[in-house]
Amino acid sequence: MALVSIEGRFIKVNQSLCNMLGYSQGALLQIGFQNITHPDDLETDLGFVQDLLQGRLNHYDMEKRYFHKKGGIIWVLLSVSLLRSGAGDPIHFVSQIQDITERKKLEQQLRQSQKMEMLGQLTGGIAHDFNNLLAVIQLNLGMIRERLRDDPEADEMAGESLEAIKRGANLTDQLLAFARRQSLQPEAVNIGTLVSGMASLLRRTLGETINITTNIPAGLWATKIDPHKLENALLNLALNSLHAMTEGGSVVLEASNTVLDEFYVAKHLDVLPGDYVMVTVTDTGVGMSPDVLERALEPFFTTKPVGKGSGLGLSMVLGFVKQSGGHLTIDSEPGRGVRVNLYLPRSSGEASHVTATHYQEIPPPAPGEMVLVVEDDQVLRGLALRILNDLGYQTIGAEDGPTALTILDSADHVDLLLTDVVLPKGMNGPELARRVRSRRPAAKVLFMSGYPRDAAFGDGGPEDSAQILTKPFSKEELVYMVRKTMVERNES
Amino acid sequence: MGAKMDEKVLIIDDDPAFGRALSSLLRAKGYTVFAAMTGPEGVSEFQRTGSRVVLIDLIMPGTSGVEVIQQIREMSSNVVIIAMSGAIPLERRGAGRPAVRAGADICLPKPFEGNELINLLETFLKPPP
Ligand SMILES: Nc1ncnc2c1ncn2[C@@H]1O[C@H](COP(=O)(O)OP(=O)(O)OP(=O)(O)O)[C@@H](O)[C@H]1O
Ligand SMILES: [Mg+2]
Repeated sequence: MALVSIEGRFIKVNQSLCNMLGYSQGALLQIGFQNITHPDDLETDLGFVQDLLQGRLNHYDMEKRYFHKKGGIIWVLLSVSLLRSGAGDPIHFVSQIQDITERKKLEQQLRQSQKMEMLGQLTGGIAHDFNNLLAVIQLNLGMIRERLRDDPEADEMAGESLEAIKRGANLTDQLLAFARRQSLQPEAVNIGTLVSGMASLLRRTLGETINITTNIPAGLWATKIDPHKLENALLNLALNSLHAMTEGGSVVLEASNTVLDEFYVAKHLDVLPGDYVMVTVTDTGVGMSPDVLERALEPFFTTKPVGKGSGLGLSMVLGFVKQSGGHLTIDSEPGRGVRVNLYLPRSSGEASHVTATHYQEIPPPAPGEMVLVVEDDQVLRGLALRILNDLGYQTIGAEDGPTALTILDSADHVDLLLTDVVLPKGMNGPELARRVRSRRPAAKVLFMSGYPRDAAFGDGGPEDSAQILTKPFSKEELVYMVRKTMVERNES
Repeated sequence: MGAKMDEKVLIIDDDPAFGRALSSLLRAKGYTVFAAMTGPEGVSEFQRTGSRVVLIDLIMPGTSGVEVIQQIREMSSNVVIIAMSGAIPLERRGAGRPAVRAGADICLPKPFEGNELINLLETFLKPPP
């Protein structure tokens, strides 16, 4: 709280106000509130002051911004009244000042995230319509091409048009990526190796004016992430840095283990507390103004001239990180460069790392639990059988649906069907699953899917992988998914 | 090559241009093709024609592709249902899984190459030896 003279000078200030604004008591008493008030709030504040002095108001409350001594903005809730003498002459103001910066930041984040959500829906919708148009063109062109096979020139034209369609589909993929609807192929990835690899690639491609260094400690946690999409994300960030450093400069790629705790999560939207591997790209370029920083992640937001930037780079990176269960932040000040932090969730990938996670809560197989593995690839089937056997499950293998059904009819119980989606002999995985369920309603089903672009089940995002194992998968993933499926309650 | 003169395919898609392109493709491969532009029409066409395969777009105005899939699946456990989608659509979770839960055999993203679909059909329809 503070006492303020009629002219606006601080006459008396308490310690908590000093701490809030970064000044010592002595220093604060040298200045007027006008000097440290954000210019956009000054007029309103002075208006209220006049209202008090002229008796139109006895008291006012307003939300306003002060500048901290070290720069940066402090949002406060200010409550002011005027102390008058017995004769009614104004003596000084009495101000209560409460720091509401955190709340303001959260509100701002909320607005921004609602906007991004809306943009995501919009972009997803456009991508959908656009893909439908491309679908018509692609099918027809394919057929036209077959008819013109004897005309080499026409064949070439058709070929180029088909290529253009693929480029179009790639563009819509970027839009879907922002809308968090791309199909990801997460794998256990050694982030350190991936980041160093990217650094040397960038050194070769970004030219001599940019100095690229890395800082990668040993002992990084395991993550499970789509490596190609992560490389692509780093490339996008590096290109942004390059564009921001026309005079040259340096880029640092770093990785570290980070725990986001309850406190952090309370201050950021859409993040879960937990262990993350943080990958950071820092440059010494021109930096971003607060206005640019606020909008940088929006799709199609660019400050680059027409034809130079589509404004999709950061949006894609954000979409990818979010869809991967991660989190992204950007720090920047004009002239000071930019720092982008990608938080990628730690995975329970390696058995040795699986300590306190939910993995342990999943009980081992009950004695005699039987898994029926249906997979036409002999090697894969053999592998799955062996792993499950080692774990203590009883197992039977079948190479196709009809064989599996025969086995089912003679087995006295089957607890889990683990089946490929695309199977030979006229019965695919889902159909087999339906038949198995109708004969053994208690049996659980887990699919394995290796369909190209992983379209078998649409969205391949982590939250959707409950009963689908995406090929190729590791032993740990198989084990984990099998156990998880076994303990899930039956769908009703 | 691989022509199956007897196999009936029903296309349920609200985009006539896409429906036509798909019919030409399938007819050229020897399939007998029927088409419907709405969900209800699709369901009655399915009953009328007894098609072996249904190709259905997941997002059509006024109908939920997922519901149509469910209805058709209830009528037949043998029919091969291929859901198609230009996006994993507007709800966050995507329609791929709901479509498969409802009874589709697979979900194919648009755009796709003609051959991709033809190969898929051949795999699904391959008779037991
Ligand atoms: N490292 C950086 N330094 C300064 N400004 C940046 C940096 N990265 C991004 N920006 C700002 O954010 C904007 C959006 O970046 P984004 O990568 O999304 O799109 P873009 O680079 O303009 O176009 P695209 O990546 O699609 O070619 C940029 O136009 C630029 O103003
Ligand atoms: Mg960019």
